[in-house]
Amino acid sequence: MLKFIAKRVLFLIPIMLGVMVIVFAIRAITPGNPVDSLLSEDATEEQRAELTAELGLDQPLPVQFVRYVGDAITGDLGTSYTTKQPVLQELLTRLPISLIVCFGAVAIGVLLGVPLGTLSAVKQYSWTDSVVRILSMVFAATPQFCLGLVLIMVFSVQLHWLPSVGLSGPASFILPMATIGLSSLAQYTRITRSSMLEVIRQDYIRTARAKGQTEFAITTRHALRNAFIPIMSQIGNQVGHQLGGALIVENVFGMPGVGKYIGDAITARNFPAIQGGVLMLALIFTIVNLLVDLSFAFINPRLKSSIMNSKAGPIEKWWKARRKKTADVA
Amino acid sequence: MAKIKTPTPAMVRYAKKHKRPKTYSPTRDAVKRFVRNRNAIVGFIIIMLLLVIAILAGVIAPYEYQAQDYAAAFQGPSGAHLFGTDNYGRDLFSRCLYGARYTLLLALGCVILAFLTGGALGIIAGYFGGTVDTVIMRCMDVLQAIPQVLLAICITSALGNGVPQMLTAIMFSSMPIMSKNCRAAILNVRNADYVEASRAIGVSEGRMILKHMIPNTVGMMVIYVVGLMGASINIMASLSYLGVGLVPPTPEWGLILSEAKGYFTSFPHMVLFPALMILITILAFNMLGDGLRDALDPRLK
Amino acid sequence: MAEHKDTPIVEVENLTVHYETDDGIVEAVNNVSFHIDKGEVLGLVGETGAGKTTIALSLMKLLPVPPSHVVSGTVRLDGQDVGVLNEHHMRRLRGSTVSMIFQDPMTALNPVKYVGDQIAEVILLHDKCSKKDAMLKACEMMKTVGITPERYKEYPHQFSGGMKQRIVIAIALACQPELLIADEPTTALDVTIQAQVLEMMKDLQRERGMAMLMITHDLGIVAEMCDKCAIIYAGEIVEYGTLEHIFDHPLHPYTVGLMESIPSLDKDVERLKPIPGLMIDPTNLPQHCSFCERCARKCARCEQDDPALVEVEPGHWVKCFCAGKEDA
Repeated sequence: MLKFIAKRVLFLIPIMLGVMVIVFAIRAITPGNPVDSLLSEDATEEQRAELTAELGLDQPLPVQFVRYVGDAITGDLGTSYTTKQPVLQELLTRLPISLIVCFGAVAIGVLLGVPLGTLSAVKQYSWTDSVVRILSMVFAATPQFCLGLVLIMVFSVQLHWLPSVGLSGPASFILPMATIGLSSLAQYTRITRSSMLEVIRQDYIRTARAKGQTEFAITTRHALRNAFIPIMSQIGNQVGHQLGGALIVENVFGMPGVGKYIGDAITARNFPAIQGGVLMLALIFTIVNLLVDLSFAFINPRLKSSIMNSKAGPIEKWWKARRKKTADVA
Repeated sequence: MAKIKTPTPAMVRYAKKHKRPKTYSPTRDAVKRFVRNRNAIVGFIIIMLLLVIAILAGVIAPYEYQAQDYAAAFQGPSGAHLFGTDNYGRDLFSRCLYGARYTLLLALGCVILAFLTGGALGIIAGYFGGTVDTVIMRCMDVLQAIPQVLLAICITSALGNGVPQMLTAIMFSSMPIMSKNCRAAILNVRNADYVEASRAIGVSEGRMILKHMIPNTVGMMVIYVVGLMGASINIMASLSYLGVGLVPPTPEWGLILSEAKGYFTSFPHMVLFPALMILITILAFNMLGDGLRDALDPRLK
Repeated sequence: MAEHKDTPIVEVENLTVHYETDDGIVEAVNNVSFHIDKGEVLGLVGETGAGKTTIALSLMKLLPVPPSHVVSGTVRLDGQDVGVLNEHHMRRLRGSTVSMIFQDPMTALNPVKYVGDQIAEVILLHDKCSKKDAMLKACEMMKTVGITPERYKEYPHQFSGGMKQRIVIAIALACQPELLIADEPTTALDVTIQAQVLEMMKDLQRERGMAMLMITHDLGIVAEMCDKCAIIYAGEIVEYGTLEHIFDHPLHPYTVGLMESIPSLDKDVERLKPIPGLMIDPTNLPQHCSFCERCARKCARCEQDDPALVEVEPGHWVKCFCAGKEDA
């Protein structure tokens, strides 16, 4: 089990290196010299040469890349062109906001999407099913910024219930979360519906009916647990979608998160900030996917026992012995 | 004792159908399932309508899309301006009609590029397997580690604004998902028992590709391509909204929206109509895609 | 049909079930009547697609609606008409009065739940007892079907096919049902395991004196397990009687055909005699006898009328015009 986890964690390293290559390449292919952005126009040639050497821009690209990776690993993501502050520090102060928006959106998507998808599957072809499907399709088809604008229109401008832009207390989080959550609703309802439809046709559902179990218990206790594996992997994929969504929605709502930071950096062509932000979001996305992967092992008993059996380390052996002992006593 | 026969409508339909000889083919079955799917047909009709609008934009549109008329700025919907006018007094109806042409053409460009690169890589990976597969798919894993919209934005911000730059950005950001889907479609067929069986009776590789691989994967790929159309329009609009990618006065719907975003609280019509166009188009592509999926995959009914 | 001593546990009268699909109506069960007395074992024999499982599911009122449609007929479980019972009452019967063993043990158990909990679930539903008692009872049931209770907290994929079927049997028997429906309980198992499972089922049936509906296409199982037997073809009972009737004096040509297609050790035959032709398309049943296309003894009348199920001797019913004439 530990070996399994370790293997998956080690797998992060090549992925993150690859991401760094991309991020670095984006900088390298951009026309224009960062020195121009950092120094005022009336800087002397000497000052320019000095800064170029300091940034390592006179070195060949591979050397620059190695330097970049080394810096990134030690936590140095460069200095923002606009504020002259370390990028990492700026990102860390903004990260919590983005995380709250993103995971709040996941929660809204799952808490609405899974029950709606289940309902839609259990009552297949009924009007409930049609309403759920049409509604989630409409939400999916609306670009996130449009949805955000509509929500501002309705809840801030017309009803004055919620603040529209900026961060002024917890209420400010509601609309951005709802925007991303609702736009990902369709993915959750769809995947829940289709995997539930598959599961409720299985023989073991018929067995549960033959036991005299109620439909509600069959749906919640028997079917949903089996349908949960595709739903979990959808959550992993959706986090990426939602981190991307945070980028747009934070700009719509003026939330000072990582997405807004990257948005502003793009307008200002502030490359260290763009690179750092992308790197950070990619890292979060990869880690979330890793956690989802690991959680499969606990949901799916077949996978769990194959991991337990094939890679039995000392902890597993101890656990098994203990379990056997308790069984003997019983 | 006579058997109970209740002539229900289903039975009458059945009897009528049986006057002609029974011939089944997977294609005919798929077409039948598709035609029966109301959502898919609605999606298909909307897309056809949009295509007509895109082609005939110059004929239908009452104004030129960039014609400015400051005297008529900020007008609400009226007989003269069906969707109203924007801050420069441009007719939004005409802009939305031309927008269909630009948006659909650009989205089609994105999809074709994504298919030719990502799709091709996926097909190669799936067909050859082994090291080729590993290398390609690890690269795709890396690309996929960056959220799609973010990747597209990064690339456009590096390359600068313009149509080819934006096409490249969307191509790269759609590559991982496209290649993974195409690879899965190929693997599905490669490992299928009927391919093993035909190999066992000595069918040549060329014939196998022609008779088994292509017919059994084209359907899946059409689904991915249709799905990507909607996604591309969505990303394009998001890029335009953030001010990267295309530049005004291109009448791409996202850009029309983006130009209007400053006025939306006082003149909501400026946002409403382009947003509706985007919504309807993406919805139509999604509905068509779902319908095709149901039609081509008989297991998912 | 026969003289009633007691209320039979199951009475089926003129049951007709259709499946209404887009491609036509499948006449799965046509005008079937039978009953099972308490403690009696009835074998239901027929080819794949003859409507056996449909009959079983309609006893439990578990047919999927749509596409299935009970066109006519009544099913009485322990004297109660299943057709008019609401879902709530039906749930109380399922699992406690009547329970069912399904064909494929591989898929009949929920893959993400402990097998023990799956047994305890049915006990908890029907016996008013605490969770702990239910677990203890489940352990006892596991012992009864020959599985050590230590395996309570294991998942179905950790069991072999035969073991899984034992668990399924334990679930079915946990609440002492009066009727057990066994739908081809051994078809999916290896031959060696089949014998073990059948032996166990037979012992448990005798021990508890419960009635049983044994659905199978294997006449050998019928001979071993059943008291009475119904032969079913294209959704109709074509012959019904005690084991002696069916095995010693089969009258319907289909039954005769089935008997001739069984390999036998004491008869020296070069080849088995299969029944010619294929099972008739159930979407398109004729108005005349549905077996006549494959029948070796058909006469002109068979192609015009549909024969009725006639009692040729006490307790022996045959649905054939020609039956009894040659043999009598």
